[in-house]
Amino acid sequence: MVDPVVEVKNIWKSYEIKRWGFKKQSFYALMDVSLAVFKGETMGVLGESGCGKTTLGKIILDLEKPDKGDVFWFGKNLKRLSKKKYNGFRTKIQAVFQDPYSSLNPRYKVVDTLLEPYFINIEKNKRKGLEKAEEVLSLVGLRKEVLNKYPHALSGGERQRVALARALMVSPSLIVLDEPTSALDTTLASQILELFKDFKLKFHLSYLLISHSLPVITYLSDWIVVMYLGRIVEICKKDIFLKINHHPYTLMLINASPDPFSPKPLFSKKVRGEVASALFRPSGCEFHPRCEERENFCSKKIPQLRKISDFHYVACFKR
Amino acid sequence: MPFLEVKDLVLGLKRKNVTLVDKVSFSLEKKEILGILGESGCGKSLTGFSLLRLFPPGIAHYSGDVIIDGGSLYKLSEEEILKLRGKKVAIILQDPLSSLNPVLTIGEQIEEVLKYHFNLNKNERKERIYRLLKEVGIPDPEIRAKNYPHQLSGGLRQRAMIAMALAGEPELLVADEPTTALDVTLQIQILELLSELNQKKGLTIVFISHDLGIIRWIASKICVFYAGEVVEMAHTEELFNNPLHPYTINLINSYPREGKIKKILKGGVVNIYEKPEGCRYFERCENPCKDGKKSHPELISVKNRHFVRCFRYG
Ligand SMILES: Nc1ncnc2c1ncn2[C@@H]1O[C@H](COP(=O)(O)OP(=O)(O)O)[C@@H](O)[C@H]1O
Ligand SMILES: Nc1ncnc2c1ncn2[C@@H]1O[C@H](COP(=O)(O)OP(=O)(O)O)[C@@H](O)[C@H]1O
Ligand code: SF4
Ligand code: SF4
Ligand SMILES: [Mg+2]
Ligand SMILES: [Mg+2]
Repeated sequence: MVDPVVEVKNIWKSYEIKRWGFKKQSFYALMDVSLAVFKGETMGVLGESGCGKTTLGKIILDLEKPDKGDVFWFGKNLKRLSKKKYNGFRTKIQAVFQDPYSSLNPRYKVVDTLLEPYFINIEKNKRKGLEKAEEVLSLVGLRKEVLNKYPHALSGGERQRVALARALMVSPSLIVLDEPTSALDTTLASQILELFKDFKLKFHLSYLLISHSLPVITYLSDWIVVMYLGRIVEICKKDIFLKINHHPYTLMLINASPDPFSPKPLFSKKVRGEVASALFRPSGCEFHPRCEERENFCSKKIPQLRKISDFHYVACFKR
Repeated sequence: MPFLEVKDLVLGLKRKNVTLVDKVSFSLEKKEILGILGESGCGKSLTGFSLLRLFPPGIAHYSGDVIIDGGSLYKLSEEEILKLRGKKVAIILQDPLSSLNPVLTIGEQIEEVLKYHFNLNKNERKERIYRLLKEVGIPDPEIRAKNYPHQLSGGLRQRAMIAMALAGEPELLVADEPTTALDVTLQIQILELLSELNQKKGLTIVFISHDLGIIRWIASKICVFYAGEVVEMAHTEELFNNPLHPYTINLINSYPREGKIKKILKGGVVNIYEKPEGCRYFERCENPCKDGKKSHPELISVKNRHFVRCFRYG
């Protein structure tokens, strides 16, 4: 069996925050999260703000350390990886974030932004680096004139293309895409999504796509992971998304998503409540205060992620 | 006579005589919801604020007229306009914290509005505050009225802002991307609330959004903006079944549908400071017409209440 490109097993991550200015309190941003992304596949992580998506992305990128649990790159546990191996793998896992403006250095011209990772990770050869830069720019649909521009002279769509080009400079295996199109207008967003899809096929790239938008997730993903308050509540293969009996929270997200082409009217009065604060986690199933299908026992026990089929896992007592 | 009529609204900057909103005209019947759709920077918010005769600093000239319920907004004195704001027409924004005062409780803020517009005694005002909070779906109004904005969750804050906007009993509500910062499950609840206020209380709404999906479901009539102009206007069903302007078609086709995007076209926002002299969509138009290069198309009526600004339909 081939190893996944990245895998996390039973990840727990807590943060501390100060409440009312004096007392520190810790809470879990991720609880017992496991998933694996294979070569050429896109894992879409769907959920509302605060559910832990970015934290999960950072742990996969090794920008944050979990309290408990293991992270694997190409089948190797990060805890037992030599420095040399680590650095080799490091360049294979790249990221593109929501706001390309803050992730691009404002004092770097595009050419420097692109060459830096190449020099550090591939080789310090200016001629070859520039060749590569021109190649990836044309891949992301930018002309080479932008090489001499600063980020502020680019539009939002162009900046996001530069961020993607930078990731491609080191020929990665997987890119973590954290809300990559959320700051863009619809027509621009679709162009960027189209690029992602293109590269996935062309280079057999894997993605961990993080988004709060159902249409974005279903557009690009092979697998869909739904998170609620730091836990995975459902995992399914995209192909069967329309056909299966979803977790009640996934159903709520589907009902709330304003799909302009849906044959059913949007307003059904089925969606209610708000996500609880991670500081005051509801007992048992964390979704129970908002769940239409809850039973008495739902507030007493925590439902575990259970296998329904090879392509579908749900954490709900009623599935 | 329509309830709201906007006629040749023009807003401009001093610098190089830049116009940001260019001869925008539309009208709206009472109890209708008009959706204003367009990408960021196309002039939606400026148009929205103009409906209250509010202009941000920097706007050096404006012309045209906004007529609400037969009265011209732009002919009123400063004093008259103050009386009208909040009472005839109110606005809600994306960020409730920008319209709520952090050092006053929700109840106190609503009371201010009530004091300004109505002659009520203390008890009547209290009753009214509770009724308003209840109406916008805030549970335990007696308790919530005593909360400061930061003590409320995101959803309750948005509702409190709506309650405040409704306190003057406006007939027209301008909603400028009121759900853009919210998660989808909260967004839909706020949309449902606005739709209910429209149906039950006959509130007329101008709803501004960049999101095709939201406009599709909330609005009965849609104005599509591009680069400061209205490029298409029609009833919602008509616009979706039979979009005419190449930009509208592009917007609809680039929205992921059942996991697929139909068509991706050239992107890029026009530079509002260097607008092309001809058709403003020329650069992005998939099949630009000859005339579009040099001449500027007018908004014309193609059929019954369907308007478009494009030479193809001349
Ligand atoms: N560095 C941090 N310190 C304290 N709390 C944090 C930190 N990073 C994230 N959090 C909290 O962890 C939770 C999950 O955050 P995040 O992963 O950013 O969620 P998402 O990306 O799904 O919106 C949130 O409650 C957030 O406020
Ligand atoms: N006070 C101002 N001074 C100068 N330019 C402005 C001002 N307000 C808005 N603009 C410009 O006018 C255009 C339209 O703005 P706005 O109505 O806010 O767009 P939208 O709401 O559609 O995103 C934008 O290009 C914006 O940069
Ligand atoms: S376990 Fe119970 S409360 Fe939780 S989602 Fe399932 S039915 Fe709802
Ligand atoms: S007027 Fe011509 S260039 Fe402009 S949108 Fe219509 S067809 Fe395209
Ligand atoms: Mg995030
Ligand atoms: Mg705006």
